[in-house]
Amino acid sequence: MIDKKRVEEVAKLACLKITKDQCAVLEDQFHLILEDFEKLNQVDTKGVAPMITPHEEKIDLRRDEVQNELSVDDVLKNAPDVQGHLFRVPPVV
Amino acid sequence: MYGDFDVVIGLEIHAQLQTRSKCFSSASTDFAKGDNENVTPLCAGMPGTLPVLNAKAVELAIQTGLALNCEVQQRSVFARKQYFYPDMPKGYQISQYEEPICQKGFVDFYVDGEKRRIHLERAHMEEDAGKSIHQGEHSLINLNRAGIPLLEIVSAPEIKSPKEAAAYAKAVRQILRFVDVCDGNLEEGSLRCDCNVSIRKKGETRLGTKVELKNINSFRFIEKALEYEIHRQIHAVEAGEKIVQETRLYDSTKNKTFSMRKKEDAQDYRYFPDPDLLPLLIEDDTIENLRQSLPELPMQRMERFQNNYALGLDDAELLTSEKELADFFEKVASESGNPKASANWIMGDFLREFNESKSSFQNLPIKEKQLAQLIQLVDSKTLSGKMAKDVFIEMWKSGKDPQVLVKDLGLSQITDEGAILKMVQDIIGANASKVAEYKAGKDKLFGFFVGQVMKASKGQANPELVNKLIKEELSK
Repeated sequence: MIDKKRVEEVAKLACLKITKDQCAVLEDQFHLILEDFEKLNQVDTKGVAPMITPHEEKIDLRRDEVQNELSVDDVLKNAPDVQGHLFRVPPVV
Repeated sequence: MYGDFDVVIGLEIHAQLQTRSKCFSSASTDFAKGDNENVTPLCAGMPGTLPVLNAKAVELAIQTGLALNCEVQQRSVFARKQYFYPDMPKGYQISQYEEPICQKGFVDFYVDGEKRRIHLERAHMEEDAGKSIHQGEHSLINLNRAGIPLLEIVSAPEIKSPKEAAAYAKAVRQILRFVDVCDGNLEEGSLRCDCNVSIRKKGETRLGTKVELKNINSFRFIEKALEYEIHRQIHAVEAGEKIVQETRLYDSTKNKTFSMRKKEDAQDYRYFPDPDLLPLLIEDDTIENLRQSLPELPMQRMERFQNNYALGLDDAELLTSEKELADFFEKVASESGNPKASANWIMGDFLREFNESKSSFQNLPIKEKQLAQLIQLVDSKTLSGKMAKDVFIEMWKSGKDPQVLVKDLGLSQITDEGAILKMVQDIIGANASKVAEYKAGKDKLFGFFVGQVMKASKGQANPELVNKLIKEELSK
């Protein structure tokens, strides 16, 4: 069941800050979506393996060859903050 | 061992699979590269990028699984393990969850001369995260490690002591190195070990609340961290406290464990099959071919050494601790025709010099053949044991053949009985008072005469002959 607490939990896991108003809206929306999913539970899936992909076949693997596609300057180009050649981010511990 | 308590330990070992490129991208895995030089758009989590699995990583995972007696699965599934942390810019780690590549398995090893078998629950492929350097005000991120292929080897919770845990981890490392899938370097992080540990009252069948220990980078620390943690848990339970499920970090300088996060704030990883990667299908032939390609594993080799070369358990264990060492021993043994002496030379003088000079088998100063020749010189009585040790040190320094050094140093042993007898008689003649003391019962003086003769012969007289002749002359 979806309630305010569950919405807040999901927001926390997704690292999203939401306001009280947004929380209420999301609660309603989640509810509607999950209601639709509930319908799936009416199907008897006993003995049916979960399908991960509709076309299961042997995939081509990559050969173990190095090909550096980016220079370190390119790697850091989008970073808001760097120190030397390292990304600098807010403290995580 | 712990009073009324039994200990239950399970290990999760993360082994870096030795590939040139990363698990899902073609970025290099080279350690020597500068910060963020091994980064492709995929490693940086750029939108629109897609993972493509490295064939070599799969091959190494299968080989490892086979060497660990696992059932390699013909179908396994990659899953997304989701969490937000700057060292994983995609927002998820590609791992395997419900359907790992290897199931079950076991590892055999010896602890204190007794054979133990620890079962494995699974071994699954996953990618490594990047490296964070924490600097208070901010954290610095290097993504060179992000995406490096790992195999996480999960033991059953059936290890019973810290010592056994360390022995198990060593056995796994040894197998990984024999098969050449991982260099097993704990300091550099190519092998990492998390320990789950709980205690329970003797007779209790349910498992106690487990605590996970992280940040352990040596076998000695596995033992010490577990030992500390077990005592911490026992004290807590005896004081009426409840053990909380949590992750604790080991601090080796303080030899203590510290709480890192409690279960309440444990992540919900929301695993689901990665839609970017199809299930990994492996044909039976591929598995069988890789099984055929496996080298002789440490345990088999150790048992063969005991049987074929009449070596004791400890000696066989030491000689098979590294593949190169075992190879070296077998070559010396076969070239010299004297396995026992080969084992003694290698475990003694050879390993002493090897460790002191921090050598590696890639740049050994002496060849197998040269050590074998030295052993033959002793067997043929050209050199005494003592002289051979001196020659060995010279060989190690110069890389010269033993025969050359025997000549250069004028070292060959004197086995001519007449020549030695002459020296013995001279020494006895020159030390009349000592002879009288000896005959009066001062047995210890025997060593004095031996020393004098050896000195007179510059250490070259055959010691057995010297002993025999002195005894004969003095009893006259």
